[in-house]
Amino acid sequence: MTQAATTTQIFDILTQDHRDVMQRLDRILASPAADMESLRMAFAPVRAMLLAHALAEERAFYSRLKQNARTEQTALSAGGEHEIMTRLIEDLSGYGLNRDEFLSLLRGLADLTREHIETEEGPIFAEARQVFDRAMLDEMARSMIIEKSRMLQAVA
Amino acid sequence: MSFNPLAEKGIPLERQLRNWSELNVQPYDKDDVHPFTRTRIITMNGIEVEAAIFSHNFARHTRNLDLKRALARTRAIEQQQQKAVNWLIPGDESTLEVTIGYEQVAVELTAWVAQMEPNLYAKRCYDFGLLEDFDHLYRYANLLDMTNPKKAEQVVGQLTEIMPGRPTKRHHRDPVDMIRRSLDAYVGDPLSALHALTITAAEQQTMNFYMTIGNRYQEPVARGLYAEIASVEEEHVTHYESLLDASLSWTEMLVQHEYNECYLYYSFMQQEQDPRIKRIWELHLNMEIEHLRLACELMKAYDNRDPEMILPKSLPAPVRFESNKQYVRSVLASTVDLLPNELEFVPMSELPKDHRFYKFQEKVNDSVAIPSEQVIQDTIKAKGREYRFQSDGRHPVPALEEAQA
Repeated sequence: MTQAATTTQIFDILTQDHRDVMQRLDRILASPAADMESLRMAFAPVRAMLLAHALAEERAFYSRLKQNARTEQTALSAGGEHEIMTRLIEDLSGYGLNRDEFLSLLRGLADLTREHIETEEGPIFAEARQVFDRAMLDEMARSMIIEKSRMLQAVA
Repeated sequence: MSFNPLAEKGIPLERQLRNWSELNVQPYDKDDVHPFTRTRIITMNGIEVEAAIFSHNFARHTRNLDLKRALARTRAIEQQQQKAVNWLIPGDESTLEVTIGYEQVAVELTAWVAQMEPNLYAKRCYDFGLLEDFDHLYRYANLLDMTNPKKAEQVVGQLTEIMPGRPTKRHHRDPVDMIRRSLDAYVGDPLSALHALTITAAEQQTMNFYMTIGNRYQEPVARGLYAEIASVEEEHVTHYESLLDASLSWTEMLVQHEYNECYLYYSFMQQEQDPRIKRIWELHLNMEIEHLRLACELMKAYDNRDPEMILPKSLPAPVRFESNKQYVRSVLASTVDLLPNELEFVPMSELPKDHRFYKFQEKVNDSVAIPSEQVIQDTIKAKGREYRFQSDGRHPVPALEEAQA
């Protein structure tokens, strides 16, 4: 774990997570299961990945950005987007949802996640590269690996 | 000037242990105590009970002996603090009078928190629970009126109105609808987490109290009322605890608990008028500052994380017990007909007729006397009218105005 963290910067870990999540979301939306039970089952692992990623990212990455005056506002804004995404994920656990409502919410979640990723991998990563040195980025990477593992248990 | 408990020096843990005489404190005079001194005592008892129970649960989830020992050392002091606080309640204050005090806590503390809460969703959750505890106060006040010459308005010092809220018979609902959205400790204002911890602990102690002493009565209506309201308090614990961020690690949660205790003791020390009890709040604050420091050390050691990431930069504005009559009236007027539907609240008229709420209601309420209704009917029968204390005019909800004989 330590070896991986020291050779892989935080940006690579986050980007890889983004790819994995979007790929799974797009796959469900491209050929959605016919019934709600199968849809929910297909979404369950994506739900865990997305929540664990967002919670771990807040702890390992954005908490550091919040402590720096140059990146504080960026971190607060990204936190707001995470809150909306979490809310959508919770709504997807709704009891009374029918298939159409579920898919509509899922499309909304996919769109929001895609936009969030674009902002994060673009201007936010650029800002973070300017503000933090290599040692701090490595520390974030180590923390992200540990936190994601912990969060996967917390959201299971 | 702002107060930062992380920057203060507390009493070293080895100097915090008290002897039996120090723990067996002189109780307050029930005829002389300020109602908000009583509510502060009830609140801090609930906070200390939560501190001990949380610490025990933490210890049951780790095999690390160093951690277990560190938790046990602090917990030995926390449990003493609980005795020192709870033993302030005198033996000649009846269980029902204390119950009225518990409900005054639930009304005024929740009303304060709701008005200070920065997260709008959490605010809605507090407003929702507020109207239910407000109704419990009215039901217990009628039980007191029927069984005791003392009026509930004397216990609450006329600082809290006593009239129907959201009727208790409607509080019984499918547990699915008592789960709320979770706060995120790393994203939101840290004050939200402190509020959720405080209200969860207060409701949990209310649940514990009623479920323990509710069988100490002989009158069937009293036994029934405690059983019914104790069940609602269990729902309330579910409602409020689901706001807490369960993705935090155990040490992060420990730090939050200790910080919240500092916050509350500091707040109550500021407001307390009784000098003897003020000294207890001050002593406990100085103990808690050390507990917080030790918890932060554990978080740094075991989580490799800076506690300041989940804490405010300094203590938020102190929590105050004060009369919130107009606020309660405004919440009553605007939200009395709300019911929970999964994670949100909707007017009762918008719930579909086949909603699980009605099935649950049918199961527990139909074909039996509902104790919370029976106690009002019995009071009318015994006294000619129900008991209310409305200092600020007519009930804001016309349907809940007192029926004229």
